[in-house]
Amino acid sequence: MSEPAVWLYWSSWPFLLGGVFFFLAGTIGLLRFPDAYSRLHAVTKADTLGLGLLVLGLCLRSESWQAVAQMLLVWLLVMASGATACQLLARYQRESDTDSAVSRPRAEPFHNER
Amino acid sequence: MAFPSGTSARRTSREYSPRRTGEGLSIILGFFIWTALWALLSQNSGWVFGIPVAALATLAGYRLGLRSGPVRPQALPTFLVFFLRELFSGGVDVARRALHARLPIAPAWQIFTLTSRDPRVCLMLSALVGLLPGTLASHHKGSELYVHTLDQHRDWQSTVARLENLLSRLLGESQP
Repeated sequence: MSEPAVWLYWSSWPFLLGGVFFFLAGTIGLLRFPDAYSRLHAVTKADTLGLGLLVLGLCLRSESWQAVAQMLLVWLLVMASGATACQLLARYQRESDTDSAVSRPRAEPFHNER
Repeated sequence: MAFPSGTSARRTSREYSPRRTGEGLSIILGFFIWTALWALLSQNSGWVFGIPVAALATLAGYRLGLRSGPVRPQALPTFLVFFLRELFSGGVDVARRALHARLPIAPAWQIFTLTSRDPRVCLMLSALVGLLPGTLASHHKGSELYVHTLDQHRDWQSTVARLENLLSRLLGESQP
């Protein structure tokens, strides 16, 4: 391996580790956040950034421009589908919440008898 | 500059018109772009499957009336720099909140008033807001964008307004 290739190989590690970190953080957010919308924040943003960093790290290790273009394209497509799916899921959940709020019987007014 | 596009407008006349020629060119360009995508993703193989898929994608774009419209390439660098910076900031922000011991979030639904009337800008903004720090949109209705914020006390409006402004410039609309 030539010297620039060795340098590129080692410089890819921070990006790869960063990618893994954001994937883990997104998963922890998915488990810890209290509602469906907040969980969508976690998976969309952290995973998109995590994949971007992984792609960047792998691009530094890649030996052909075609592989680099392919990985960047995959990231772009995943980002586009992630942003769109997140919006559609939020919309679906919001409509479900509105429907259940409308169909739910109204609570009896609270009377403090003390 | 145009991306895979088409229109569902029906025509009764078979006469030559510049608009019809434009539609034909956009269909050809759409097919060319889908084919190029296939070539890149499949590493120039599987064309027996790739050509019909590219043709189907072009037909779907035509039937759905997907039309990207004009794009200003000179506005792209500013948009990309801003978007990538905010994407990074959004990922860091959500990771910090997820890993924090006290889980510092205050989620709420809020409304952002859109200044743009261009449906392409509104649609793109509604999707891309989900990648900005602490925001996520469900839909837009008229000039109102319904945004879920992870921390309602944080200033998210200025970032969304800046993105709307940059999208308006990129998609060829005059300044809102």
